[in-house]
Amino acid sequence: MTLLEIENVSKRFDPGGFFRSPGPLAMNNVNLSVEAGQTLGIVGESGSGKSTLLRTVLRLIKPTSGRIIYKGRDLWALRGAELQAVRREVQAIFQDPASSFNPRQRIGAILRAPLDVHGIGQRNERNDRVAETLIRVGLPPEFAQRYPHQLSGGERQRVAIGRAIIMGPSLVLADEPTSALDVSVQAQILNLFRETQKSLGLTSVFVSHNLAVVRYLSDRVAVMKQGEVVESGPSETIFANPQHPYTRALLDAVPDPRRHRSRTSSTIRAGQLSA
Amino acid sequence: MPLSSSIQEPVLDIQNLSIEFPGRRVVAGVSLQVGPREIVAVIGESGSGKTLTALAVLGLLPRQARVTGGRIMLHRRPMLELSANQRRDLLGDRLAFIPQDAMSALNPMLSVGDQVGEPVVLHRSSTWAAARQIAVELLRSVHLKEPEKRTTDYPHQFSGGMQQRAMIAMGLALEPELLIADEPTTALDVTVQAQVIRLLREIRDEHGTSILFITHDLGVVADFCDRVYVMYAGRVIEEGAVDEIFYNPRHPYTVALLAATPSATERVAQLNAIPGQIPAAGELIAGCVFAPRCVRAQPSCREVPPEQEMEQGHRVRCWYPGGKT
Repeated sequence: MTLLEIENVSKRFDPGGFFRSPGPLAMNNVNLSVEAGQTLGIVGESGSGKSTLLRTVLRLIKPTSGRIIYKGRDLWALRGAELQAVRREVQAIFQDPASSFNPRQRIGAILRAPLDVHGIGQRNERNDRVAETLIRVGLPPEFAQRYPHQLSGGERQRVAIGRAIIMGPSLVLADEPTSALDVSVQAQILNLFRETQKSLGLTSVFVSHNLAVVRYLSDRVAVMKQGEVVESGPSETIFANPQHPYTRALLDAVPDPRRHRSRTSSTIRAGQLSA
Repeated sequence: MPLSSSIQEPVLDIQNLSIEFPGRRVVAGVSLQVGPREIVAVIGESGSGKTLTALAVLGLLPRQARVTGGRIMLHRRPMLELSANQRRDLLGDRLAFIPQDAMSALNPMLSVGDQVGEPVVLHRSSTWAAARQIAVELLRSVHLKEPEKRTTDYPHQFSGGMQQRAMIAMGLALEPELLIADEPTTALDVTVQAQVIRLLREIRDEHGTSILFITHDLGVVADFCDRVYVMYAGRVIEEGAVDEIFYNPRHPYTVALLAATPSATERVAQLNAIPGQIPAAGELIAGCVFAPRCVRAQPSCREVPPEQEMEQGHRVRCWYPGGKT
């Protein structure tokens, strides 16, 4: 079953002002679809439009044209109760939880907020659910009493995953969920993300500039460049046998310790890329 | 070309360096050498002390930080004993620094050409007109397109990669003996990163400049450096030639770090995450700093770890280093 369809979506940021010429296309005619239970990774460099795309699905940025279909309904045409229902099912994880959490709220309140907003369960039921969620993301339930600044970066990102899954969503959208973390902690969060997704049967779309992270997490991959999807397909096909020159250039440019181990000379392969 | 032995006199020689913030020791007994024409990486995660070590060489430590022990020699000059004026004479001349964020390192009010040429005016008493001419050549040497036209541009008119090139050009102005680069490519896209790294390598090959490269990215180290120091919680835990470290890592932290790194070129079924987290900066740990997260740790690891020489130039601070694979 197709859970999410992005149909001919374009976005032009209007610089405003009567005499200004219209801005460049941040997204140009993007078409993608995500099957239920799958993970779509969107990879691209800065300015490729990958975050803009994610934000149009989150209803944070309105597309200039095109439609976003979630479970057969146009996401941007929804109103009232239907929209509320979709908001329960679609959750987000951002890059830097330090700036996406209220510093004056305790972790418990941060996790409970979605339940409060949507009026789910009684107060003590909500607290139980907070404790369960903390355990699920690998944190002790006592963390509910702490403030975000008392947590490390990895622990905060666990809380962010917890906040996204506490509503029992169908679709989780993540924007560079591990790029602020150190390698040894990143691996923990990537594994948690994968396990959580599998055990809850979540569908996810995530955006990253890190090709290694995308390869590890994704079933399918879309490569974006200057607002367009230049190549998309099953993750292993794209990484093993990239077709588009830009995908190949990206892969060639990634320095990789594992590749080093499979080579004898230390010639810099990345050097072959021209400006 | 790796430092073949200690016969060659190192360009930079750090011995037993310790740095403290009030009540917290953040770098503990770090020794590190950079040989002539060598590219040496210091790799570590947050709080490993890699950046503070570099800043100590430059004399640019934050105000509260204090060097509490050790020695830093730049070609026989005792860096820690120099007066502020003496150090200023060296900075930008014999010793250059490329920071992580070029945008905030460049002065937004001065044209790029003036900034790139400034070292020539300050250290060689050149005129500004002559310095601007030199700046054009420097910008050309870092492969900036149409340098004649770009010298009058201001930093905001440059892309991130161009700004980093301008910083490198500035660093090269007086052909320094040592270039210290602190995560110079972290803020850049991968394709731009590849260009900057190629440029740095070219500089070493053409000018014989030694480079100390601070990074958290194992991939960059593998592709680009000759020797590597792996730092963890303020200490060097393993050092050796790049091939040694990547083909034959001995310290459990280095092994775990490699196993925790996802790959774009190989299918990895399951990443082996390192349990626990990095100790807070200056946290006091008796014995081996990695013991609390280490799978091989034994009770004896709670004591001071020894320094072991595995093969020539390959040192490990561990009681139970991994075997040769």
